[in-house]
Amino acid sequence: MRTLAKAVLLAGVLGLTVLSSRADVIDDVGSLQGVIDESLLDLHGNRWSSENAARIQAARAAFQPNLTDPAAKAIWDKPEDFSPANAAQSLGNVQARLQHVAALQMLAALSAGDIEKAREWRAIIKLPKYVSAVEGALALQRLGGEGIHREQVAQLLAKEYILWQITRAREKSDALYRLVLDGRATPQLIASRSAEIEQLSLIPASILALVGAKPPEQAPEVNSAKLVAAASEGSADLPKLISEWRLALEAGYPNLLSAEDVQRRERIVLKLLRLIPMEYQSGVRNGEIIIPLEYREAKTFTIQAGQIVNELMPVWRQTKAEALTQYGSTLLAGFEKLESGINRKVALSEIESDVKEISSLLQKEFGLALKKAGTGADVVTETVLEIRSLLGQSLAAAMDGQWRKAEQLRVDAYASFDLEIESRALPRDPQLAIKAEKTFLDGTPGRPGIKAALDSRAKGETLSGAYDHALDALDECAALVKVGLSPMAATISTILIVSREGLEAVVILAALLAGLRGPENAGIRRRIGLGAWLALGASAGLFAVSKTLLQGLSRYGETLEAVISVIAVVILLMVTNWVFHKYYWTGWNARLRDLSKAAQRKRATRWENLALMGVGFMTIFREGFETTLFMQSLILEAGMKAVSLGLLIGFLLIGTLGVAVFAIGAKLPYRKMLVVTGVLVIFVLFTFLGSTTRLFQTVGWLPVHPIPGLELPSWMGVWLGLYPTWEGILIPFATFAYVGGMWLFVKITARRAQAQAEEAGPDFQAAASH
Amino acid sequence: MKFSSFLRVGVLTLAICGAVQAQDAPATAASVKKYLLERLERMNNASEDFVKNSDAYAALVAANGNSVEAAYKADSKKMDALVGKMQENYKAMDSFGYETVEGIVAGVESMADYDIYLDAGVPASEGPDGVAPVVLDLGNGKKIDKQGSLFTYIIEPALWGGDKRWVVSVGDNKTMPKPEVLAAAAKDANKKIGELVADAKAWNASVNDCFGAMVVMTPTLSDYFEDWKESRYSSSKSGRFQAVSRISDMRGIMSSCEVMYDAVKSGVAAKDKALAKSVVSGFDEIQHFLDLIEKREKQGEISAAEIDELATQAKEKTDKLVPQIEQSAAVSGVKVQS
Repeated sequence: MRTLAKAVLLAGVLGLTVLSSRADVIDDVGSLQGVIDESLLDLHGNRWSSENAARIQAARAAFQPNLTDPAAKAIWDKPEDFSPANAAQSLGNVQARLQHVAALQMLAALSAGDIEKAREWRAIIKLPKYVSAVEGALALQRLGGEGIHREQVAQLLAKEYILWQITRAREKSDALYRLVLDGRATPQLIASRSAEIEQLSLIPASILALVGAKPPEQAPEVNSAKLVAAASEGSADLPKLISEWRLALEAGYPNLLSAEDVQRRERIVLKLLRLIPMEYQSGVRNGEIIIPLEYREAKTFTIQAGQIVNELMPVWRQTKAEALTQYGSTLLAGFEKLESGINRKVALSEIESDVKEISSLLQKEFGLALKKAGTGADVVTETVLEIRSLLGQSLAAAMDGQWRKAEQLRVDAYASFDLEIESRALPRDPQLAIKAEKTFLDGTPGRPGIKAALDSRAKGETLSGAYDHALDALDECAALVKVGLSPMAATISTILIVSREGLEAVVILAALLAGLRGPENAGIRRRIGLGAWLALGASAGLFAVSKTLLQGLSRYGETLEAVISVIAVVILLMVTNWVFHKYYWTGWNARLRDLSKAAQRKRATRWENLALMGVGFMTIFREGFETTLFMQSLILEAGMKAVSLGLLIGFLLIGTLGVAVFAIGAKLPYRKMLVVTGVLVIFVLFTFLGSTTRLFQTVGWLPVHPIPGLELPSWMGVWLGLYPTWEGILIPFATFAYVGGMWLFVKITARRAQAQAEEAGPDFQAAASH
Repeated sequence: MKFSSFLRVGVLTLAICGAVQAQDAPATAASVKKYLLERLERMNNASEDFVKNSDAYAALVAANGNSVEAAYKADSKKMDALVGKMQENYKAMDSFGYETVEGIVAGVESMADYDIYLDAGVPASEGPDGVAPVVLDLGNGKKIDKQGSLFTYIIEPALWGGDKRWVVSVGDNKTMPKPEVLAAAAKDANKKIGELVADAKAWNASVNDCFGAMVVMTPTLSDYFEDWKESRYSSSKSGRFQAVSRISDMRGIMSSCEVMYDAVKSGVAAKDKALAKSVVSGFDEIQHFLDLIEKREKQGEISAAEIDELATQAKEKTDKLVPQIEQSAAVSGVKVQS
């Protein structure tokens, strides 16, 4: 019995020993951390002594027996010097190495199947405030013990650990930089903090290997020692040096992002940057915060954008290494300047300039694209899908009580809306665009927007109602912006332009051939005709080349449309100008006639053949060239189908006209036909100027000034190119001013010429009539 | 990482999520409710005392022709004694009362509005978020309309002279509170605390509530340390947070969080002993740390570098607690709202 009692007692003691030894890792780390904390406080309070050095060395030694993993032991056993000159750096090193050692021990314990031990080591690892550590905890709880899953769990834990420590290193380096800027950093603080950050950034190779990454091959040029030296000398370059050091550390971090993650983050950075000045403008006036919410948003967006750039650095190290080396420091400095400006509540112009600098650096040197590539309609479709998905996720998160996540997703959706949909909707229907924007923000009285609903932690129908309103407004905007010009309007414009240009060609050709009747001129007529056919072929060729070229440039979307629209407007201006200018007919026809006569005088020579073909070619190609370029603009606006239909009808009309004139010899009222088509072209110009104005507003080349209270039906936009903004109304109506002015100018000039001719006598009158 | 590895991690994540969904909702947390009601009862008593003292103060001023200056000249000792008593009432209501339950009240959704009203709400000029809907009728045709939370923006600056609007100068750079402000604020505080007691009694305290409140409140601790750091650097004080050090506030929130974690600890330990122990150690470390800060503060001058080091260490300790509380909830099968 006594033996049994002894055995029970022994088992109890052993049990307690085992239990206490299990708890010892947490307790031991607690004790060690206590000594490190006290040591750091004594160091920064200028109370460092040899006793401190002895205490910390003893604590390190006492902790050592907890280590079983060879890699952990190797790290922990690295000698440290706690003399007054090196204590700060060594304390920093020990702090960081403790984390790596814990991670290595955790993975070793997992590998050995000792899940309890793995949990203990994991529990002592320091964590940043807002990271997720749930997955790893659950993985250990449910799957860690199963050998089949152990490798996957190890990968998950390694990935978690790397993310945690990179996040901590970033937070710490950011805090150190601010400390230096505020003038509160002592050389000792810089030494301990920078050493800790550097060591944290040196993730052990075996942990990196689990996520398929490797440690950086080269040690950074700027290191902790250089920072300490600069701080001791009181160098003014210290902030710059810290920026370079941070960049070098970033370059060494492994990339844990997928290609999709990278693409998404790159777009978000630019979106956030675009929103910053808008929020700032609403939040701050004359150095005072007028709407705290907006000011806070500007600040938050700046910090978020900076954090995303930091996150992207390891990826850019591989994909944009040259840009990163050359502009990395400038980029980080740009974000710091922007944040500092926001904190100091500087003038809006300064914030705009800083944002512009960062954005253009990211776009030009790092190749980030602010807008999605592709035609307007494709971008709109894609963006609407993206926004719907983001809002759906946001609502789900809000209903689940994950307000922070819901808000992040809302910001992402809003940024996409603002950039791709609102910018297109605003020139077309400012009231709708503003109404839709409000549904993403505070909403209207009695109808809270999504932001307001999330801020007030709304529930049930109030919450889902806010999302529904935003989705309805989004659909309304999408329907509005998907169509640029009505396909029917594009077809009619095409018919008009082809008819007009074709009619001009027919009239000129008919006038030329009128003096070349009879069998003796059959050869000349044939050669001119051949030239005309060649011009038609060349125009078709030009059409194909232009279309291919523009297709290749389609990624520029509305920007390309705007440029081509300008060309089209110039062509239309020329065409309408010629309607009133007699010289077009007299001068151009006279030139062609002279050319034709000169060719006839030198019969049967090669030059004569070519010259006659040239006359025919010039007559047609001039009109074909104009038509071709104009069509490109219409194709971009309304698509190939609508334009093709217009081309077909236009060619049929002109073909019929050509047969009637050249084959049958019909006499037609050319002058009346030219006047009628000329007037119709003026309306085409009117519509075109309207849609070009809207395109300019969409790409940001013209401002948008809504006309308060004015609402126009959407058909006026798609048929007439009229939109309810000052620019959208005034510019198209300027067409009439231009045409009227041109008509008056021609009339006055002609009257003056007539008067001069009457004064000069009959000879001059004859010359003037040409 | 190779694609296959990502895929495997993805599958693993799904497996984990599936496992979490299968968990059942846990039991109640009666100990937390008991703690809350005890503290609230003390607050309620202090607020009743505050009403009596503020009435006495107002009566004294009324007896001197409604002039604070005249009343002070007539009997400065009595006036000072009454203000001293009200300051003690206030400390019992706020620093040693509300702050010890703030973690619960502000963290539990059904009571969170009281936090805005009594302690955390800002004036309308700093809105629109978190504006305290406090409107006090001063009885002389004037009102205090949404000028911030009752404790932080009205009572404390009135009693300690932190806001010129709520005090009257009685000479020699000395100020005394306006009686109408104190009387209105005291009655309102008493009424609001009474309502809070009633709501707390009706609260069905669950483990989910405790986790939810901890997830909401633990991140605020590092903000408190940041406040403390900045107040140590700053040469001028804002008029608020003067009653007792911010350390006391931090200690109060920590106490509530510890009480709540105590209620859920056994459930966590059953699933992950190390995690449960680490969280408890984390709370202990922060409490020790607060002792250390208080000790150093009392010792006098702290160097700027030391202040930063203290704040940095505090941040690390509090930051770590936030994801660990979330882990605790997850392993216990509780879905928390963040």
